[in-house]
Amino acid sequence: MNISIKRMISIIGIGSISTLLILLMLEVAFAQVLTNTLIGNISDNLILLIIILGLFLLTIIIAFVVGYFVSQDIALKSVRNASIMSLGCLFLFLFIVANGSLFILHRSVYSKVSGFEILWIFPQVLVYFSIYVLGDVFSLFILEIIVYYCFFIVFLEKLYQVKK
Amino acid sequence: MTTRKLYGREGSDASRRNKISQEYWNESTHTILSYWFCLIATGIEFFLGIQHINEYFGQMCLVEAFFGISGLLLLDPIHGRRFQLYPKPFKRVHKNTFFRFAITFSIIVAIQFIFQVVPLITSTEMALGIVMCAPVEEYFFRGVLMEPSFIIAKKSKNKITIWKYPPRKKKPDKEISYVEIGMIFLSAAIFSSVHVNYYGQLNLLLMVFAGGCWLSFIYWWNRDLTPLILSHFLLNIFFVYQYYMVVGL
Repeated sequence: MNISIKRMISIIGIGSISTLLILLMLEVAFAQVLTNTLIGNISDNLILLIIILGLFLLTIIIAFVVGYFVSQDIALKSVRNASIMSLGCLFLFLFIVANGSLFILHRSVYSKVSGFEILWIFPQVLVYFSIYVLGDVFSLFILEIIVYYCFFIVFLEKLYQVKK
Repeated sequence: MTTRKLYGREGSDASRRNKISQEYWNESTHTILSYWFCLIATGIEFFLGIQHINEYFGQMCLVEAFFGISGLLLLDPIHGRRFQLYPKPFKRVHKNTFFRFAITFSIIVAIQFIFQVVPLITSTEMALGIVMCAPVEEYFFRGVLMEPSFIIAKKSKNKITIWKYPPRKKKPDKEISYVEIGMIFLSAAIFSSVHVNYYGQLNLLLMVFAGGCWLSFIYWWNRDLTPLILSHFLLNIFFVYQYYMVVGL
């Protein structure tokens, strides 16, 4: 093994905690902007969709950057490739889990959806999944971060190269 | 033959010890994580301070922002490095940072549990201010206050060995000087004195002093701010969460 188990736990742990804390800090900074620009101007459902998806994307960006920070002794190319691959796997994982669980627990969501339309409503599915299945929007971000780092460490192990 | 071998080993251990020590003094004190944590927290504290400048809470936020700025600007020059606004190359995030964080965090949670303090929070902004002060306080009370004692201790010959590593680890023993011991207590005392005006509870002050001693000790041991920032940050989140659990939203 290129990366020891101890190091893997450390990368997942420190990456997840740092991402979560930076997300919290940036959320505070953006809260004021969101309050001034969005609330009162657009419908409530749309606000919810924008805020949740905005934070979802922000979490991904932070996780991506923190991934670089916590693996500084590994070649940049390996980290970049591992990050991109784990991002793809994260989306696939969330697509399957969110759609699967909503299909089982709240089938009515799909009553007017047919065929490839399922791809277009993915953002909405994600929001429903976080509210109705996970019960809390923040749980979606925590799940997202942990799954991202798990994939990240798997790919990093496969693509490991020492920094020259 | 045996004697020569022995001297040879001792020599290599000493050179390794010097190399480890030299590495610490050559590299920056900031890791990229700690630097960004402090920068963002300073910004938010400054923002909250300006917004509530007429209240006592707002003025304290500005003081915290000042702590953050002084930490960001002064820590490296105190350490002996040239002043840089963005200190590249950063110190690498240590491979055991998570375990260091876990140990630090579990002990400060235990300290908080022993003293059973619930904070008095009067507004959401105040809760934010409390949560965000962690990185800036670590930079100032651990970084800026402790670093000079490390420099003095470098030349000191009177040191107490508090931990001996087994020979297979090939690490220098942990030796602490009296200056460093004094500074651990002094920084914790200053740290708790800053909390006097927040609440004025004796329990809280004792808790902050005990926590401050522990955090300063860990900083002395690891010479790394990242696990301290993460632990303090997470503790403050629990601290505020505890208040909302007790009082209700």
